[in-house]
Amino acid sequence: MSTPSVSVNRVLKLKSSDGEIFEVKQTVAVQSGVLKQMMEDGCTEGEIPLNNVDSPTLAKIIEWCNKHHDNDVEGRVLSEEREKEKEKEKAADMKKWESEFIDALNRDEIYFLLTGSNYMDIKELLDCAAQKVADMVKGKTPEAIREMFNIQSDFTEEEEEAIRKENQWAFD
Amino acid sequence: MEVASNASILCRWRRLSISASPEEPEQSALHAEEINPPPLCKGLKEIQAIDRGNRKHNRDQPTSKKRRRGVVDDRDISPKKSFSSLVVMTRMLVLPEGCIAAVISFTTPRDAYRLACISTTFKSAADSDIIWDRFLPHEYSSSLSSSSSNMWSALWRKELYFRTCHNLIHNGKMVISKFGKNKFRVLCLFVCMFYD
Repeated sequence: MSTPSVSVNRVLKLKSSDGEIFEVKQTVAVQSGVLKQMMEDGCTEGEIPLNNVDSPTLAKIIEWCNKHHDNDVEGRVLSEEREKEKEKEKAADMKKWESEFIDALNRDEIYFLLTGSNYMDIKELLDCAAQKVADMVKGKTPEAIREMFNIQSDFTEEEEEAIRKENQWAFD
Repeated sequence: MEVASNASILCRWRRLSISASPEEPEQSALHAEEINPPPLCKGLKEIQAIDRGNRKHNRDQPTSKKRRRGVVDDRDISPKKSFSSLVVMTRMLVLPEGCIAAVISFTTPRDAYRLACISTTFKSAADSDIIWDRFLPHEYSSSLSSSSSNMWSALWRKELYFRTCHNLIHNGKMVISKFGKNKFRVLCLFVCMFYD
């Protein structure tokens, strides 16, 4: 199995779509599937352009990754039992932090975070943002959701009618 | 070991989010035009460019009306909404299928069906196996993925959900609670075989 050549001190230079440069430790960046793959392939020299992620979003993504990285490396030397207790505590703290993090964002920011984490392949963050959007759309009618996100249907009338008929139970 | 399992999960997600992969920005822009014809959306690149320009402007002055016009219809324009948020909303249409699938997988089967009526991208995301794997009882879907039988892999998870869970819930009501987990699994197997 090939392990990525990650060193604690090395940093990656990430360039957002609007040209801002962010420096991220390699040990933090491995949380992104795309960056991890690049590290494995040894092509992380210079600036790494992230054309689908703008600087406010990238800052948020890095904040998330830093927090989750800190959580991973703390307190490795504890005894097994203490460690389990600590783990539980940490998991609860992290949940709280995550919900505060995501609740502080507006709809636009969540949208960008969703696409950004999908683009950078950060599954935990994608799940967290997706959960938030899912809570927003749960129990709503297709019309309400279309209006909410200003989506225009690209179905023909007949197609839509057919799909609705097929899924009638979901509308009852 | 951990690296390997993570990698497999990531691969799974990558497959779902092909349209957002870094190698294919042109393709996603093309796709944007396909599913969202002008004037509502002028393609991803153009919108990104406008959006970027706007973000810089936003701090000093309110968004110019000229820019707004033609991108979204009038009813959506209120002075409180930033141009960026309008762009965001129109871009929901060009959200990669992987993102939509991720969102739908946190809803319910009923929501998945309602969301499928929104647009073709939503429909194809709502039909994907990764979502229905989550909706199926856990022990059932895990026994499916560990099974090597062709019958399982050929079976569409969504269909499976309907042949088992949905029918039991809607036609037989309390059936599931009367069965233990293992019996339920056997019942699912039986239902599938019967239909095949």
